Amino acid sequence: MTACEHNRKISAYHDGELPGEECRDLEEHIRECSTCAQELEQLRSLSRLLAAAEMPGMSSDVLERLHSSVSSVREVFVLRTAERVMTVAAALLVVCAVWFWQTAGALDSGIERLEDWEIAAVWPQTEAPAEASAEEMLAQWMVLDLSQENGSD
Amino acid sequence: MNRERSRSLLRKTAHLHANDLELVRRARRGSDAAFHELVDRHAGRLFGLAFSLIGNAADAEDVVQETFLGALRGLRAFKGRSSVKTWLIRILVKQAARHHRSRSTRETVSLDDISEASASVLGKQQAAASTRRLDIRMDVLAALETLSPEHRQVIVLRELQGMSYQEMAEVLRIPRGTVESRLFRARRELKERLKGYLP
Repeated sequence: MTACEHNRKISAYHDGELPGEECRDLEEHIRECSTCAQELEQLRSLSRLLAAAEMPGMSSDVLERLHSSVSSVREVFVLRTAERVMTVAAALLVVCAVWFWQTAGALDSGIERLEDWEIAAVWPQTEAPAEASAEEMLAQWMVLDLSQENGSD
Repeated sequence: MNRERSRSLLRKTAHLHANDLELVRRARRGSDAAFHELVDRHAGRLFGLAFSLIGNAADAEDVVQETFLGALRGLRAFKGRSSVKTWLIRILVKQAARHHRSRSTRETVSLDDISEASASVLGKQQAAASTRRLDIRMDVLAALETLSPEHRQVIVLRELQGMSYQEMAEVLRIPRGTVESRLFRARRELKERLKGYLP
């Protein structure tokens, strides 16, 4: 079979994909060209052959397995989403805690610390100094004891 | 099993009148039943397509499963510019191509089997003798198997799925002219391999 210049168009014509005018021109050509007529006949036979070789249908078991896999993946999606939300929430909690800690630290440092001399100068000295010497303590005890013996009321 | 049946019945009644696009919207909002309805509507057709692209039922099932899982992952990205059917077929064709690549790296031995199958197809005497439907199917599948993935895609989409050139161009993301030329070359190869059946 010798090739014809219109040969390539036969495939598109067979599929109904040629525009109207081009289609009519080709039909005219096919009536006169045995090569193209045979090409068209072969393409039609090929299509019939492929259509006859019907592919197996899907069994109900396969369909059930498909539904099961889709369901399990959906569940995994939901779990993953929940996991992500919880991770974000935990991260936010940590960030907030750190922020709060830093802010509280800043507030602490903002309070002016009193100097030791200031405390000593301002604080009321109501009690005896804690570091009184042994002689002082003995003297105080004797004074107390004597005042009790004199029966002072 | 009864629970499965009642679940399936509930699915069907709840989304019976919704079109595919509406089902995708509902599935995106979290409706499991809507997505299951999409599976019910398209699985059979996709399985046939996968089988003709791959050649065996077990791998076809895997590819269809991967297709629906891919669709599930891509629900939010689907903008509805193409039909849901075209979208699913596009995912399936990609999954089948990926499957083909992994299989060809795994099984180099199978090339010999294919050559043998092809040789049997080419034998005109044998082809003339095999009149039974099963034989035709096996020979057609063997012939499809010898085509490159690109050529097999266009043949399957056109001849078995009945898609237009424009739809094929959308699914395969190639220009319409490329669809036309691939189809021409694929048919030329097939005619050669199946010449025993042709006038």
